[in-house]
Amino acid sequence: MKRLSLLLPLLIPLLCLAAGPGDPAAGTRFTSVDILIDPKGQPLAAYQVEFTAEVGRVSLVGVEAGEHPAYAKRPPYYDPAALAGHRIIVGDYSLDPNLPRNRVRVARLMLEVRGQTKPQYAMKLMAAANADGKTIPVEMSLSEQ
Amino acid sequence: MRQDVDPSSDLPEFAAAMRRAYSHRPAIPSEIDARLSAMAAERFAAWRRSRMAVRWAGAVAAGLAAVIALAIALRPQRPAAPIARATPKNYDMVDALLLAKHLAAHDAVDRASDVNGDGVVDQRDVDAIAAAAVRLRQTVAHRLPTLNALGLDKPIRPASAESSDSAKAVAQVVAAPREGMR
Repeated sequence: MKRLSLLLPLLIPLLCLAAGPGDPAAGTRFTSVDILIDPKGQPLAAYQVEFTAEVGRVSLVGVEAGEHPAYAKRPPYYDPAALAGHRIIVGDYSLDPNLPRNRVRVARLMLEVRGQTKPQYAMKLMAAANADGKTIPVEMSLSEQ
Repeated sequence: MRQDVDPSSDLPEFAAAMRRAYSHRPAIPSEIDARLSAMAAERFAAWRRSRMAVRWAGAVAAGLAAVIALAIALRPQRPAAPIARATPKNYDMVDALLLAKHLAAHDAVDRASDVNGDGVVDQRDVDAIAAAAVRLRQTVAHRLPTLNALGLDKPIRPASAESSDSAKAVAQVVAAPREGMR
């Protein structure tokens, strides 16, 4: 009993350390990926792209609007079910008379990356059209902040 | 009660005097007569002019109404929004753009564009199309190839040997998108 009373002050801090949560921030970081589209001189009136994090433990945590005034007024359309997943489809249209004709950020994806594995992203164009609704050729790219 | 005077009565002189008094024609100077005639002619002419003006105004108004009615009737109808280019399962953002454009231009819009079924084609239908376009489940289904594309348009016979290969192919195809959903 006497031994226990001596060990107790030593055991309690050790037990607290063992039972406490580990460092949640260890190996977790937040980053953002910009989706860029270059309509090559044509007015970009609508777009729809699919983004996938193919490698790494990545979760989507948010979607922000683009930078051009035509796409900056609101976030693009996306399925809320995509949040906390690693795949999302974003798209938007604009009736603005001043549409982007050059490389422009149309959306920004906020991501949570867990673990040390460097994530790899893939993007697929689903639709891109000018103001008449005609499909236009575009170039897409990603930019991780 | 009126009683005619009998000329053979006892008052012939009185009757003659009365006849003279009421049957004489007063002498009107020709100047006054001409002036009265001119005034009457002028009054009648003014009245006739006002009646003609009213008639012309009525005719012009009726003509304008007819022209407007004809213009409305013969106005070329712009085609309804071609939203029917996509089936509900594979809308994309271009469909939303096209409907939004037609709504902004106040064009006649096809009732088939009432995607949310509320009886009105409005911005909510545009939003519904856009939401359908970015829905994740749709694209998984959309990725699945048809039986024709797989060469499996014939019924699969589970007991036969050749059907087992087809069943494996289907299982692989179905398993592929599920992996993507994780």
